[in-house]
Amino acid sequence: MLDECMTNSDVVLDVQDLVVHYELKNEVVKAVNGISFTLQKGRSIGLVGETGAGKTTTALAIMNLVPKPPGVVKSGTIDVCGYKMLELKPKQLEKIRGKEISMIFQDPMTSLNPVISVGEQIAESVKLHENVSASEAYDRAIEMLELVGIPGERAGEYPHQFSGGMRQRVLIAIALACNPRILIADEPTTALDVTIQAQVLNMINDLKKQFGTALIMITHDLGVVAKMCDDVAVMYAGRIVEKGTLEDVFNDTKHPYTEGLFNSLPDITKRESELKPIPGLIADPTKLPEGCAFAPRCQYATDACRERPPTIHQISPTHLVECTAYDNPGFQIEGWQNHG
Amino acid sequence: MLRYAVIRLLWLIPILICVSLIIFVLMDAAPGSIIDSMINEEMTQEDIEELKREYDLDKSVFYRYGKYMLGLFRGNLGSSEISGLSVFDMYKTRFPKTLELSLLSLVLGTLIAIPMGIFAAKHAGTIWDNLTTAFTLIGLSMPSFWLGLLLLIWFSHSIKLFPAGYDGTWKCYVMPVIAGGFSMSASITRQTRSAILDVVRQDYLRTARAKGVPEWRVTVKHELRNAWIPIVTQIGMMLAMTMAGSAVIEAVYSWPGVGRLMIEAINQRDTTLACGCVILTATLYVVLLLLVDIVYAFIDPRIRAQYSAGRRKKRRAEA
Repeated sequence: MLDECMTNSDVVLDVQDLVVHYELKNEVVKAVNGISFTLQKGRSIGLVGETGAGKTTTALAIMNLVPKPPGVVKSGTIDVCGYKMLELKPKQLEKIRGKEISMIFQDPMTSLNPVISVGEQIAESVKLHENVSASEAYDRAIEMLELVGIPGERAGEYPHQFSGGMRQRVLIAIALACNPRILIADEPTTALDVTIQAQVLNMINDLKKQFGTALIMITHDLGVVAKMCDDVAVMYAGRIVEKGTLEDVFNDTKHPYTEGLFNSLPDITKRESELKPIPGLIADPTKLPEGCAFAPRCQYATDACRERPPTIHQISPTHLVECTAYDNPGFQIEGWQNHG
Repeated sequence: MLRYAVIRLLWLIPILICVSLIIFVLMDAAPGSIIDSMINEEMTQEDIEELKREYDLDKSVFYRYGKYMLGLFRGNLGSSEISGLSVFDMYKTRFPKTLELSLLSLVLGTLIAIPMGIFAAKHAGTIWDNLTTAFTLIGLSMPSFWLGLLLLIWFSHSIKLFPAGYDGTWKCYVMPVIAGGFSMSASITRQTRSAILDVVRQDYLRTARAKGVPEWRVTVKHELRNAWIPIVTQIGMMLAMTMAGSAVIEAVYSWPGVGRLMIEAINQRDTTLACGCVILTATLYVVLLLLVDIVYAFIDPRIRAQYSAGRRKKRRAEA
């Protein structure tokens, strides 16, 4: 029964009002504060934001892998192919993880077990989810390695014998070994050289098309989003501040924070132009303000922004922005510098 | 790896020279000598002098040591000065009893220690962890002879469940194995707990969980395999120590092992026997620790790679 997705609709992932806190001894880190989004079969969404915006916590919550303690999922529902991830027993979770949904982690240097051969690490997941013998699972592992561009005969080697880019490919092979419906890629290229980055991204793209996998791409790199994603959700201090299709967010930017992100990108065609970083630091998740968390850094902020939580505005059927400034129908951001 | 093993074994030579010298000097410095038990009132001063000459006691300790070492380099451990039996044969007949005791203690100790260490690490900071810490502290600070005596009083003297000494039945193993296993399990538990704590926050465990690996398998396959090295080191050291003869426990339970043989030899001032036992024990110790080092290479492919890197370098140098 678990082999088949229980839902017939195209929505493979539905996250509603997710709130995740880390309750430490003397403070509470409010990492994720009410996030909702859905993902359709074969589509891809980019979660964009600075370090500490709650992207990885969101991903871990979707897998129900938030480290507890100190992590606590305060509220919300997560629906993966019809399974309520937050309500399942460990045994059921183990059947879904790696099979319906899997994840590529940020740091390839530490995410592979150093004392187990890479082939065995890929085969482990196949053995767990499919009714195959150990040798069949290993054969599949070799196939997967070749699929990600590593010669199959290296399956018996250990992680320390591979370079960073190759280890990331091994992690991708592990994640895709059972052909999951959803793949979460948590900054899969951050730890890699630029040249390797492009290779790895292309590979994820190809495999995604080949298997029809839905993708959640977590990144702080807008270039990666442009290359990989159909939809974009911009996160700030544990909330999605702007959400829409790639065109919505890139060509019709609404949120001042999104604007700030684009302004912080260097433009190689205009070398003399100065970077315009967002002033200030990302909001301290242990002391979030009453009003909009971005207000202290926002050039458009008014008293209304600082006093009450931001209001949500539907710009178009696909485009959503969470910003009090749009209460004023005439409000417009300056538009980002490198626009057009 | 072979090269490494040979070098380690060559180190045995200076070690053995040192320990045997220490034994000789200490035995000489200790009051009394081998002939004390042979002297009776009817002996004249001349008879005693004669006896002394027979055992070279009229010469310096270094003369006796030199004579002994000469024999040793010919591969001869000599024979007991009291019984006249070959030291090696005496050791050989006693050793299986010590081996039985130490292996059984080790199995008991490890079977308790590893699950308990994992349990404590998984519940670090909770009452369960504290209880485990209390257990290990008791185990480490309680002298094993004291536990041995307590067990004797309870189970042998009061309720007469187990025999007080060695009688060849399975019953006589129970108390010494518990007494030996208890202190062993304490130190292995501590080592397991800290080794597991070192790996529990590693990223690769998250990768394993994300694959859908069940939690028990994450522990056994992914955590334990990375935590093995310090645990195996501790186990190896414990094994080496008890194999060397847990003299105290063997004495408490009058166990016919090498530990008691050594104590008897020292009490009777049988220098040749004592020195022979110490030399064999030291050799055993070094070999066991070497085996532990070799086991590392089987546990961790990175260590294996270091050994083969050495080989590659050598091959390149030869080419």
